[in-house]
Amino acid sequence: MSLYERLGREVGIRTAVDDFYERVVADPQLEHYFADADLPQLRRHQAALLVQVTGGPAGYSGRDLATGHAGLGITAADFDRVVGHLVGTLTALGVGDDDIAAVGAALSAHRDEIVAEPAAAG
Amino acid sequence: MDIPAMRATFAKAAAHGDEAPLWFYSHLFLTHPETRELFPVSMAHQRDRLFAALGEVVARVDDLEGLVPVLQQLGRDHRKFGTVAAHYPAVGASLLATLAHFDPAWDDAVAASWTEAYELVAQVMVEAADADEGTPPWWDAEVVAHERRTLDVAVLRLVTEQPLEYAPGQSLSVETDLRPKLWRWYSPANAPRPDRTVELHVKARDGGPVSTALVRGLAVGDVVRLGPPVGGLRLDPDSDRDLLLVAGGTGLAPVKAIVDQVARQGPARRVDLYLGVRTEHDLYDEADLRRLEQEHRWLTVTRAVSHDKESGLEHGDVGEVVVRHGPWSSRDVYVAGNGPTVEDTVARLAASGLPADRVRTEVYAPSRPAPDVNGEGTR
Repeated sequence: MSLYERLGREVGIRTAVDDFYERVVADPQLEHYFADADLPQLRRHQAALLVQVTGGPAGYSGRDLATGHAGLGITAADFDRVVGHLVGTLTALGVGDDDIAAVGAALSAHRDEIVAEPAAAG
Repeated sequence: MDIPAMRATFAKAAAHGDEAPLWFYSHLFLTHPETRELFPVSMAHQRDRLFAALGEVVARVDDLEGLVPVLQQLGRDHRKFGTVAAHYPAVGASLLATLAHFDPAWDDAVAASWTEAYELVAQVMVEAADADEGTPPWWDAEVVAHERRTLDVAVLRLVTEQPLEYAPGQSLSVETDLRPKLWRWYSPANAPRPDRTVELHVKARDGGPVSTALVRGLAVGDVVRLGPPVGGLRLDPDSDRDLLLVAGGTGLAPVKAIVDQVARQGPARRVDLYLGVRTEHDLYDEADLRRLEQEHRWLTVTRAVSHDKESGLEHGDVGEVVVRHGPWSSRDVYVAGNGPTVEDTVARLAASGLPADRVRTEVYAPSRPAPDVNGEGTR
């Protein structure tokens, strides 16, 4: 069973993405990143990307992550804040420890494409 | 380090009960997926442990003299989990993120205090682990005998591949392939021997995954792993007083090890052993106890039953029977058993006038996690 299936396929992943964005945009420290964003499209792209990387059908048509986040100047501290919101979503939805680690492995592969400053040592 | 502020922060996370450890481990696995394999498949028995241990550390952080040996013990013990120095920053980052998440008043000052405290804790643990590199992180031990003595009690005899030094009355953690990465604590029922045999008394308990596997699943020829010895009911080396040993159920194991120690090393002293069980049927080690009584004139064993009207043995809770046979004012006392048995015995002995500093105890809780963060089950 793929991670895609364990997360509840497209419906499960869309639910998680919606929950996650609710948390992120409600965070005063992060809201400025989304001032000009088309949130519904962002959520669609995010869900499509997650479906694809977790083993579901390929349907992601957005930009690559580095291009998508270029110019936003996302700091390591803010990235970590977003990670915290993702923890909130995953625990709220009852995602299991192994699947969280699998999501983490996928996430850490892309961290450097998102954060605009070099990763801290350690 | 602003200790009151740190305690306030910790209390806020602790007030969320299971939510805080769940958040912590989710954060750890999300940010450092490689740490997932250090933990058991089922985290159900794991999650509350870290916070319980942290709570102990936080409570004692202003007593560094007492805390450092505890942390050194923890650091040495963590070698068996495959924990390496590189894992400590990962845990530290997730710990701080967790505390920040559950504390609306979290700020840079309290973050700095926690960072400093955590780095200190990690440093002491890592250094102790490094200093221990000459000894194995764990000992492989083959099961050479497995006897089901009652429906739920088994007596295991193991032989360690390498010599394993421990003090009689101490505890060892045990892991079996039947329940990978779950370590539970048991006390050897013998002093260390040249033939490297270790006898363990295990009672299967509801919800105790390791004990149940050791009693019902383990077989002769299987290999289990033993962690380094910790704490426990060690005999006071500065005393040659006669002994009163009190055991409830499988609490017999550590006190039997103490009898073994007296027999092998002395000093010569009288030993009275009181063993409390529910019914005569629960006396799972009678053959060996009778043999010990015959071999050693200085040893007297008294059995007490609490729920067996038919029995010709002493009736009552073991503490009650002990006090009935007193006074014990000249004795050093060692008590091992489940929580209520130990508490009741200690209270009755205190009421009979025995000074508290003469009594050492070890509580055998269901699915014992660790003796406690002191590295001791002894109070």
